[in-house]
Amino acid sequence: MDHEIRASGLAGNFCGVVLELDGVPDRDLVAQHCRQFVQRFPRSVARLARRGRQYTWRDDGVAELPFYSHALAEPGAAPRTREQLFLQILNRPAPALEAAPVELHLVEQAGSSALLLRWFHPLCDAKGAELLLHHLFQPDTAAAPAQPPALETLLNKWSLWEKARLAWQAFGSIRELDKQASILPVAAAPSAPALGLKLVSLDQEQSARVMSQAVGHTGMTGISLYFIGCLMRALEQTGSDATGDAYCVPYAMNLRRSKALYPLFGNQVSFLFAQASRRLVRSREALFTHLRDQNREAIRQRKDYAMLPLMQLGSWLTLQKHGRIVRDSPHGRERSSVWFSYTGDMYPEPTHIAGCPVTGLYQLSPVTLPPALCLLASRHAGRIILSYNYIEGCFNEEWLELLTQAVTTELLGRKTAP
Amino acid sequence: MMQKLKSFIFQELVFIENPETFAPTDSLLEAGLDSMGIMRLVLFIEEEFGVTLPDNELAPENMETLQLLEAWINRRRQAN
Repeated sequence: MDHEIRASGLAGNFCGVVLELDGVPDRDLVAQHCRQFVQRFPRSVARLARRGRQYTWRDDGVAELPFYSHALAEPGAAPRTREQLFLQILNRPAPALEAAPVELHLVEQAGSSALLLRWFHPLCDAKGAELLLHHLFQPDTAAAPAQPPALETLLNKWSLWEKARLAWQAFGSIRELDKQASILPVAAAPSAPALGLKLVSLDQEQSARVMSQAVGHTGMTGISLYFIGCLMRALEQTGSDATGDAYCVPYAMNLRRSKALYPLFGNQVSFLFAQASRRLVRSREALFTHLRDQNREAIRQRKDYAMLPLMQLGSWLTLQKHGRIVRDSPHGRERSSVWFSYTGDMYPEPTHIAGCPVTGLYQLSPVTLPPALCLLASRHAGRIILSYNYIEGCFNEEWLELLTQAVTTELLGRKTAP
Repeated sequence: MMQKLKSFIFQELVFIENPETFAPTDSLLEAGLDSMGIMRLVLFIEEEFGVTLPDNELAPENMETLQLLEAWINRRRQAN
């Protein structure tokens, strides 16, 4: 995926999780936490290395986790916001084999601050990055013992034939999805691609209403599906000239046990696709019923597990061939209409970082072109934060504003156009 | 039945340090059973115990604790 993101013109598969803080943490204390963390988790300072077609991590003799402190205003430079600064950090080019897998950036502003953990996607997934933050600032060596990697444990359970059967099943379900051409909202190719960001924070009352609507429409088992359905409806309301038959949105399935503090490293998620035709998307009730049934059937048929051997195939196929199987549809287009992630509440919830109360949290992610747009939804202290990440130049500001408003209206379940 | 449910939940879905101390009346939701975990648990129950659990009964009053879960399965078995 890093290669495909770079091919889109972005710096690489550099993601972020941001904690907003009330107050400014003591830099020496943060640096001390970084040193302790590296002693416990030396992988966090390793470097990516290539061995034939496969990739591995090598100890490069680096002993320090990079920790940078930034000022918003620099002499001779135009003023910038925290978000602009974080985007500059994510947009900074870094060769894949030299990039630090984890960096910590602190920005101070008028008595408050924000901490960015920039992570390189091959190192871990989004939940892994949240766990990195936990272990960075809660260095509790007496905590629960490390758990074995969830994905490898599953793959090791299956015989070669079982993996082959599952991979074949995954091919079948992808072929089924590809009967409908995906609707892609991207409007233009950018001249100088860079990651852009638009944040929408809901207050506690709005957030409670969204969660209640989610349980009402997609049940206790489908919070992610509610967000995906609302996103599909907002795209349909605002992107009517996009061609295609159906919206197709990938979403991750965390393989870790809930509340486990390990594993941190490696990919520990599988994925499924939510797909709905334009006709279904136009009816709120029909859409949510459809998404819930689709998800239930996918889990019943273990399609999420079936994707794992398919992902493992990536070690043996060329990047181009694997990308064609997993991402491209036979219609000659990207299968995903948008990227989506719902990480929910961070566990354990970070209440303080180096003595400063945590007041907010959001995620950042690059994206390929197309779809050039992703929505990352998370929750902190009962408040939902919607982080829209996109490739600048692909969409105009007015459309993004319309889209984000439409998503919020849909999430709140207020009356909109039919 | 209770032991099978407990083993599945704590080996596959939720991490707690001492599953053996988890009581039948302790809250599974507070322990960390999340939305995807509930879906996997329902499918496990349907396969393992040969019952169908309707969507509209997926609610805390049937799934909050192991005791409630067992009672729900038994009711569905009789109904089936």
